[in-house]
Amino acid sequence: MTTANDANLTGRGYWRSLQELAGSPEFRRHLDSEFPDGIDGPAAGFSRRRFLQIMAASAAMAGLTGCRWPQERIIPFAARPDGFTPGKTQQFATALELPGLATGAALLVTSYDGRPIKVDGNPEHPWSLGAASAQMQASVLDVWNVDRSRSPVRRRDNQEVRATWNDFATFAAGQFDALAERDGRGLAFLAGASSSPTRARLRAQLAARFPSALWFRHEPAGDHERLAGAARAFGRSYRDLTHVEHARVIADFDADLLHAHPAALRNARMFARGRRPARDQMNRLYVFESTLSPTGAAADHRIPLPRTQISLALAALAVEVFLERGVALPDGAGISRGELAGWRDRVPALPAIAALAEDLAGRRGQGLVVVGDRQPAWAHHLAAVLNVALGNVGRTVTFVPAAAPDADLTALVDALQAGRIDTLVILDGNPVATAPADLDVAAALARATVTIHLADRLDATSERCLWHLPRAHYLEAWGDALAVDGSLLAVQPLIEPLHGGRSELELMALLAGDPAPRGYDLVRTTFHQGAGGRGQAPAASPSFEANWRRFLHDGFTAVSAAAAQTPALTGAGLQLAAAAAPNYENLELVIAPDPRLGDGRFADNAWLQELPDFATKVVWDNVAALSPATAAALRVAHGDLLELEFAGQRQRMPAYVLPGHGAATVTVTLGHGRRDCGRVGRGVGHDAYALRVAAAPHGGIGLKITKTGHRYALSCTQDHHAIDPIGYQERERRVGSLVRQADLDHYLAHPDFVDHLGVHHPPLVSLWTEKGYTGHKWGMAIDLSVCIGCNACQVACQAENNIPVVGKDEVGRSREMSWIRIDRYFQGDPENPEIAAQPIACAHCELAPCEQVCPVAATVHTEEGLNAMVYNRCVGTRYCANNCPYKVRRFNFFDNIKQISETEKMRLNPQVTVRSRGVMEKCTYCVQRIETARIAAKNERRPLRDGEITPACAQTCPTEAIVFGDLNDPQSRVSRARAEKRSYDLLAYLNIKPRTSYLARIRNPHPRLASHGEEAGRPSGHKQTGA
Amino acid sequence: MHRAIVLGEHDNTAYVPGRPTELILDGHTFTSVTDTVCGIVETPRPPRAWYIAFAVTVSLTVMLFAMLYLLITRGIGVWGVNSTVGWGWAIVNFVFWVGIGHAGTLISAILFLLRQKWRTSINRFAEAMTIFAVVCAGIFPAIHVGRVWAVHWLFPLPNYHAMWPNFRSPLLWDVFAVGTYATVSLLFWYTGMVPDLATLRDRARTKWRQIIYGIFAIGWRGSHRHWHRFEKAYLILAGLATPLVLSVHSVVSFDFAVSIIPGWHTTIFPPYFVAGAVFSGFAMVGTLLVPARQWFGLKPFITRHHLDNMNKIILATGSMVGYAYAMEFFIAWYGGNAFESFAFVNRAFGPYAWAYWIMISCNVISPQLFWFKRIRTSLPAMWIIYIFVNIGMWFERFVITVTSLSRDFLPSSWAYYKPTTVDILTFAGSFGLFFTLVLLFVRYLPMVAMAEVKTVMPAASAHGGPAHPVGDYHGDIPQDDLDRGKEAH
Repeated sequence: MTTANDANLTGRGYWRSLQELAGSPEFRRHLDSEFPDGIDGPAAGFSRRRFLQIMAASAAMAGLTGCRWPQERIIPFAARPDGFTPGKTQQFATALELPGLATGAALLVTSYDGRPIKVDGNPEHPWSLGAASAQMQASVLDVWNVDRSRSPVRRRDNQEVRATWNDFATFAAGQFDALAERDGRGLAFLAGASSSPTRARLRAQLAARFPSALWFRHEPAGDHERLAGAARAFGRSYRDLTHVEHARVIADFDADLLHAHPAALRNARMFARGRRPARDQMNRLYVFESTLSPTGAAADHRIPLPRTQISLALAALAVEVFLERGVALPDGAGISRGELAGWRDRVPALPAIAALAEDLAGRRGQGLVVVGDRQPAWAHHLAAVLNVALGNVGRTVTFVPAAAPDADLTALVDALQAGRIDTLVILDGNPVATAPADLDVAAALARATVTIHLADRLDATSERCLWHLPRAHYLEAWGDALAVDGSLLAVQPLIEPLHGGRSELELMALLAGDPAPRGYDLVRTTFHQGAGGRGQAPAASPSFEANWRRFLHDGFTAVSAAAAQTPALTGAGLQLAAAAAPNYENLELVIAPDPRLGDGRFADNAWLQELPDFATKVVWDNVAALSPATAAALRVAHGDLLELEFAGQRQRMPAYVLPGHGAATVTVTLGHGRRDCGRVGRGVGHDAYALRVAAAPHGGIGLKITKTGHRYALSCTQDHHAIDPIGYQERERRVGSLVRQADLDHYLAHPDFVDHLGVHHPPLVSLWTEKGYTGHKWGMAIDLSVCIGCNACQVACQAENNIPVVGKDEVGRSREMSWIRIDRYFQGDPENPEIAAQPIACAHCELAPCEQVCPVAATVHTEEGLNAMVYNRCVGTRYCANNCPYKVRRFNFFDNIKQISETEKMRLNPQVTVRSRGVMEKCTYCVQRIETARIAAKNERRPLRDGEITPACAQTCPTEAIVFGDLNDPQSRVSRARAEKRSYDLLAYLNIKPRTSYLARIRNPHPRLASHGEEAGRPSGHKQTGA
Repeated sequence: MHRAIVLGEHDNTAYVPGRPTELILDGHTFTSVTDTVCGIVETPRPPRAWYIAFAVTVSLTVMLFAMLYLLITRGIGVWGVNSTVGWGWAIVNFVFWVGIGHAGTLISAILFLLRQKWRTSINRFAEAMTIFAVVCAGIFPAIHVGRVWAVHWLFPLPNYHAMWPNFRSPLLWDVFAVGTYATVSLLFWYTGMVPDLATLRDRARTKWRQIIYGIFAIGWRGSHRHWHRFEKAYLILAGLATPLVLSVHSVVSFDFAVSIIPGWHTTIFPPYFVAGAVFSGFAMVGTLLVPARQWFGLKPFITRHHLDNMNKIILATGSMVGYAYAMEFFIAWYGGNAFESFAFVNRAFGPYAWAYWIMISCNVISPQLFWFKRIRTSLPAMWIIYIFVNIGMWFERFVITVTSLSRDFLPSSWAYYKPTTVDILTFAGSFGLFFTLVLLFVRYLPMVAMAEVKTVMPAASAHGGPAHPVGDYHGDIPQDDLDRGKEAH
């Protein structure tokens, strides 16, 4: 087993570790033993034929990891399957359930000769609209992970013994028949949150077979508080469904509406559509949050607060709205004016609250108040009351019924300790690693005699279970899910399970008594029953088959608008639970899921590990983030290794001084520091679960920090080193001309303000007649008004263009390979700065400085103005990279592609050349997509249409910030974007004529809070302070 | 072995009007010159110190090749360069070594054309040093590319891509400039050495020496016809080499000046680089000559007068370099480009300020001490200043290359460059190679150009005598010198 071989390998060295693995004694022995597992000893008469067989087998096994390849079936192509052309990609609609949110995201997965290679959003689905988050896109890499477990494992005398699914089926038949006879007493299931109707159906079947069986739910980053708040407000569990397109004033209380929210993709798209810089057309976003999220960066007003104070800010808003603005309390508000008046001196006074209340009260039915999962239930309740009172319910927010959460992990541990459970089936999750630190799940598991764990790999929980069963990846299995609006999504496999894994549904069906469950039939039956059918899905019914086929083709069944509900308030009492504000002696700890790794289930995903965090730009690590003033008060420096102590738990973490962080608050993220995952994530970062206690899953007040005296090396893609005063001042000075921005009023008064923000230079003339472009002239425009810095483009580019991952050390040496990066700048007051995100990729300059200096002409201009990189001509002088003013060229310092496993190479996009060592690479504007579209247009004898070509970054951008097209077509979207007044070229004074231009960022602050910085054309920043 | 009797060192640095300076002291005759210079090469066993030095330098050379092996098998990543700072020590070392290679050709060609007679004592050594420095320099551009096996694509050779190289690229100009320079320098050095090689051949006592020196002496018999052709060829080569002295470092400076990076994009670079190159070249010649004249009994040939002259050149070029530094700053401010001015403020006060101030102290301040004659003629003092200049000029290239790249236009991509051990060992190894070649040179080739030195000795004149005009004429003696000689007689 791989886990035994490489216990000493850590994720940090991952990109060397496959070679180390190859050099490890175990592997050597494996290779050296002439007949590795599976091949009998030498045959008696050692024939030539036998020799060749063995040699071929050894060669196959020398494929480094000895993975089991998909079974090869040799079928002549005399009869080609319908609609399949070898070498041509196919796309299938499927869906992924977001971790912890019990919400499916509709996806479109590209498959090349039977191999899933890229994940995108399903453009037909109204809550995806073709966009996909970084996590969704990176999930394709997990299929090809070499450390997934390859067979069931049974623990016998503390030894892991390889078994087969048949062994398990035999075992299960005996065990579960016996359980069924005693009505399932002593049987318990532990599962994650899921919206799958098939799972619900199978759960009912299990409940029928084992009526006394218990069911528990474990989600480290769940939405219990949201459901509980809705239950209190409306009498049953609901999830709120945001309709940002109708919202003109958005109040986001720690909800990260545009990024981490279940409906973030559509929210972001609709938010962006509401940012057209024209009078009375722009929405206004207020964000109250503790750590810095993309939503906060996009906000017109961002108010950093400790997490516990955010709900109080919401209470302050309620006071302001109901008492100062005179908005009537709705029926069933659960609180009287008198009680509200009593809140007055318990809530903080924030200037932004008054402005927000004014905006919300003035735009009834056009406001939206959302509260995040880490806020208490009463805050969700209060938000519901506010939305009802302001007439927003039914317009900007509706509700979708949700299942009430089951008993949680604490209840399971209690039941186990009480000896009430002897057989535990863990369908999902890794409770041993992800339980709060004060909950001893490992010891509790030992109390059960039979424990069965379905998991991707032999993790900490599997190691303590009797049976480990390999789980099929969602791209390998059948399933279904509900989208955020309640529409049914199809989960269909693109490849046979690589390692014989089975899905949760198949395991449930097996335990429910189906000896040979097939995921396809299970889902089909659910679909049949969902349409009102009874029993099994019919084998041959043309009408059903047509519906089923359409469902699989579209990937979803749309839900009628009526499915969204507008329930009435119940009148349950609203109580303000005031928390004391933290101070420097008594800090607050915030525990949040990592924006990249989630609750840790993406820890083994190299793309996400190397994806820079939006705020910190840290890769392959997590940090304890705190504000500059807090750091100064505690005498903590950036990069100090701290010891955090919270509720009796301790953990070490490096300090990251993050401008704009809530005061006296420290944020840590979950999902890192795993010891039990594959080679990629093992030991990367610091485990924040170690600080979590069951009573305070999101942290709380009472954090103590001590300095260990050690320093810790963080790898960041930006601001690698603490910056000196000279560099700091210069950066401050430059940002205004790099990311040009203005308030809406200023923009309307001075539409040409962008022209006054750059370097003043003489007219740019050319000494020679420049090349004209008569055919297409490709260009790009990026709208900084709507870019929220969500990183989706970066992962899309990585997947599309086979961009290698280089590991923490190499990023630490500034050698990251990403072709598109998101520059993040802070400006102004470090405690509450303005934050700007700016995607930067090769701008395909017409007078490209890189082209001129390449001695071997390896980078040249095409007839359509692309700055093309000729990999096989490049000798690697790196002169082009030096001379690139945007520093977007990436050099292969090592043989990066050679270092990825053979299995993972199956994921590579065959349309894009992989680059060898010593070669320069950079953004190509996805030239392969341009050519594919051109060929298609040529075959159809028509000109290329605008919008037909979408680079990967533009395709996945949730906010449509990136527009690509033909600059020679005045009607193209990109031409129109460039014709806007706020369009500008970065570093235009160099006269390099970049083909990528930027649209200046226009903000829409409340007039009373905006300070019109006329000189620089940007406001100097609002000055609310936190606690 | 003939040893000149040295009774204290004769000070010939004083300028006596009307009396030409004696360039060769201690009453050397043609025979004693030949005996002294050839004696070094002919001694059957070099001193023990030579063996020790050779062992050290060869070890360093082996280390150089080990580092190159590591580099070529693993990739450029073994160095400290990154996406922001694409050029690091390799390019710094390249410019450093090319700069050092300047002194030789300057001394041999330009001083020859300017009839600076004192050059004869040091030109062989300086030229040899030039060749070796260019050898060291040549390694770096070849190995600093990502795909060493394709580096020949920089030459306009027929290839399967059917492509010309890009003639707009300064790196290509570099290939031609350095290539031409290396070729002409080598020819110049070798041509000048032919009569001396013939002398060694004629004095050889073993078969092998006879054969090998014989081959390289290409049949030199010292006939008038030989001398005539030799002097013509030498003059032509000097004429060819002279523009190269100016061109090669100008072209090297284009690598930077033609780019758009603030701190690189400056028109002052060509003259500034040439001055810097001469500066560093003379410092390196001095660094080697001061001990060599001591160890090999060459004090009568390489006198204080010679060193004094060299120091004056160092003072002059050092001041030019200092002026260039000041002018860069002035233009950065006067030009009014914020990116440009930041590049220079950042140099002096940013993260690499330490390197900048090492450069300033070594290159601008230390040579100013040569205004004092006492320092200019003191062997220990001048040697220490030579070392400072060598260090300073390496740092100048480091400052130019690295600081400009590390903080260019977009603050998001600013990065700090740190060399790795491989970088450091490669640079140390290049010194090993350089000194290995120097040690082989002093062991097997005449260190002083005997034939040329003899022409500046009084005995070379038709009438002899100490007051005779001292000439360095390979061709006809100009009439006015002859007249002056008659007057003096």
